[in-house]
Amino acid sequence: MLRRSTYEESFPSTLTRARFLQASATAVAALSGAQILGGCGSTGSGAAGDAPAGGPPQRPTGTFRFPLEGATTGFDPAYSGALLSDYVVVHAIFDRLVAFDPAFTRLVPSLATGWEQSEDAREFTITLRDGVRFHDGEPLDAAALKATLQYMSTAAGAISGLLLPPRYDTLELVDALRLRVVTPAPQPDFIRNQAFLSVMSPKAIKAGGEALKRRPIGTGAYRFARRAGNGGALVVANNDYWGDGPYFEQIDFEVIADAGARINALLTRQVGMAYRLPPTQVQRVAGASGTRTVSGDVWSGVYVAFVCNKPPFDDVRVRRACAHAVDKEALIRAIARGQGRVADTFSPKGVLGYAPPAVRYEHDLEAARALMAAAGHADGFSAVMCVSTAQYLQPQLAQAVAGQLEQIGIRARVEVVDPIVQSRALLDPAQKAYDMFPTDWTWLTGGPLLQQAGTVQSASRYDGRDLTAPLAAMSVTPDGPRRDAAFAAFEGAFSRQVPILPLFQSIYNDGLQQDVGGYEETPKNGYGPNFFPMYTAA
Amino acid sequence: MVRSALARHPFARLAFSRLAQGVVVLFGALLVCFALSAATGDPADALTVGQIGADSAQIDALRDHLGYGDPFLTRLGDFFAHALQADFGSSYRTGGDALGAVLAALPNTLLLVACALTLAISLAIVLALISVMHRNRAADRSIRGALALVQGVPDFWLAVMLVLLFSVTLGWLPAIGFDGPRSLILPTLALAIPVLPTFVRLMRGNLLDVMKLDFVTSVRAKGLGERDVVLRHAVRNALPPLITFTALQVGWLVGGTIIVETIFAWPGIGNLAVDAVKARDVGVVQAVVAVTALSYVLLNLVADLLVAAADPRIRMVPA
Repeated sequence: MLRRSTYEESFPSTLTRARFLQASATAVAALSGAQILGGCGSTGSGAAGDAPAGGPPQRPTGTFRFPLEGATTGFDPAYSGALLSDYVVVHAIFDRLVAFDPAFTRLVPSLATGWEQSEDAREFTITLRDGVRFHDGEPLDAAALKATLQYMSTAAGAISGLLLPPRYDTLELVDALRLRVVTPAPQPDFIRNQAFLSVMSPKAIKAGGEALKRRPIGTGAYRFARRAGNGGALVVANNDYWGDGPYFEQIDFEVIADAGARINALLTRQVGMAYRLPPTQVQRVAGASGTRTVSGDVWSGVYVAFVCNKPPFDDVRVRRACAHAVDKEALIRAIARGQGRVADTFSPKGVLGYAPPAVRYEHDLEAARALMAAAGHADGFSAVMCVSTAQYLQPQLAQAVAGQLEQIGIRARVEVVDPIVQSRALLDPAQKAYDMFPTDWTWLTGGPLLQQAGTVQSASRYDGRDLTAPLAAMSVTPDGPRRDAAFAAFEGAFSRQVPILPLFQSIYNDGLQQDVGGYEETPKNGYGPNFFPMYTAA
Repeated sequence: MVRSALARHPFARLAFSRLAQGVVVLFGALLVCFALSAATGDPADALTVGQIGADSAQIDALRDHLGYGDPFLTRLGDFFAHALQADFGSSYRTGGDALGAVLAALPNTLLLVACALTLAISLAIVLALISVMHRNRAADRSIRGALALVQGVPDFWLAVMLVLLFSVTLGWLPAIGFDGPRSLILPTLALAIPVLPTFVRLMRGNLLDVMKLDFVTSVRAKGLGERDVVLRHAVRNALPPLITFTALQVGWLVGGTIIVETIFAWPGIGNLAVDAVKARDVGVVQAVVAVTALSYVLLNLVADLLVAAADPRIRMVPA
């Protein structure tokens, strides 16, 4: 009978800095006696997911302190998707045309109260909410939306350009609150992508340049007050907000770069929330008195990309052997501390574009060895894995995968490199130094953005027609059975060719003070909490 | 003329010599910093890492736009020409003045360093005196034993343990940030405790050396008690090496508070440096190095001059 080898068996415990600190923390806890025991009990009020008993206050109250993981760089919404810190602040200032419902399964109105789309997904009519004003007093109308779309489509190098057509055939003001948009080619994700794009003040767009970056003006529940010297920011309540909220007088975004310091700040009530807890810290926050955790599956996955344009990974049998050799459940258990779900597809579950895989590769070392032998690698081979220091837990994950691949004779050396080195190697189709790239991707819009950006081809160098043909189809086909078929064809080719090996879909955990309400779901795209309905229970 | 003036004034000669050495050190530090930052890539790469759809042409265009397309020596020349005017360019992330960001954070770091050094020196003098006055007795042995234990404690571990005990568990003190005097206590302890043993050992050793000198025998012969001998005569003579060492420690701490500032989210230049390094914000990193190196050089200069002022023998030695 085959013996399943887990990561823990392959890598016996060693004393790491984290373990050392953990052991020391235990010692401190023991020394401090009863006080800490009170905080660790399972009956405390900090049970994961318990919302506060009280409701929101009658008017905006107090300061909510939110820790950013790095300094902000600017608040122009067209560019703010590249850095989480920027996006989180922008998220508090701007509204979008549409939003996701709390379960992130369907689009609901936000600044747009309605929208119509032609059958060929080239023509859209958007109806705006009446009576909404930007923070600078400008009214929200069709002209403002037209200015936003024009700016977002053409801003040089902006991330928004990837979500919108580069140009429009028509941007027609039907009336004060209705805009008709006609695009040269079908844009099946035009409305969906609006859930990620902010609507900007036309006056601010006209001012342009640094003003856009430094003085963001939206319609959101909070208005920008100032940027702090260390890269933080302060926003204050917009008392004329049209929707739910605001419930805080102000939100103070403070830079706390160290994850441990963010959690200590949460546990000592110096901040109201710690976003995206490291898996190793989830239990600590969930078990502490006065704090709670909110968790959920997100549109984010962890993968290993094979370099398919050179031996040995140009042979699909080798890639399939790897797929059989990797024990994904062991990786989730040992590396992600249970904060993940086994993945077999490129698109995570819940993302538009997800389709069940045509082939599932069970953890089967015999099958893997047989495939290796058939590919002429019965004695195995050496390979190099390129992993970035910037990706949390990736170096450990890469070591674990390398340990599992060794069981079928693949002697994978893990090279932990600067993110720039990894990025350059990923972009260079002629690079010969690396054979595998462990990495992770997030689906910002919940649609097939990464497929359409050519992520699979650029990361793996696999560009077979079985993959590119459905990709071309899904990019121009409106939602419906034909598009679903293209998604299924893409995922089918993906699972048969294994240019990239999906490992697991991530689960994110956020930590909150027990009395913070209005936040019961971690955003699926992992890009910033919705601050508007959040409150401290009265 | 300058040479003859310097020959007539040994103190000025010493100051001039130390200043010249300082300029060389500063030049060397900036050169190494520039070479290392150039060797590890440029902001164009950093700004486009992870950006969906960024291709090599876009990165090259951004590189040219940021002035990183020029040859290494041209950039080096530009760098020093601007550095001489205290211009390290702008932060690529914020668009603000790089040196301005460092100078804004510097007072917070200096405050932390001043508190830590004040605590460490005060404690060191007290402990060294107790140790010397009770030499080879229980108090001396206890102090030396405790110091040996403390010396082995890494500052990051100590900082984390202080937070876990006094902030998270007991809730007595803030865990992060700068919110009034209470915020200073834990980072000060985390910085002061690891350097304390060195200060105590230095002061104790100096005191013991001074106690062997002839003038101490002379004051003892005059009938002065041991306590007065140590407090009134030996301490003053044991201080000059401590002044030099303190100056070195200030320079070291200004650049070495990185870990403690990160753990306590202290808004100083250590925290700024970590953030800038992570984001490849080269201008800010270079400004941090320049400010740290300059403080090191200036503090050494001040220490040398103070010691020379206190001890005439030093300024007579050819520099």
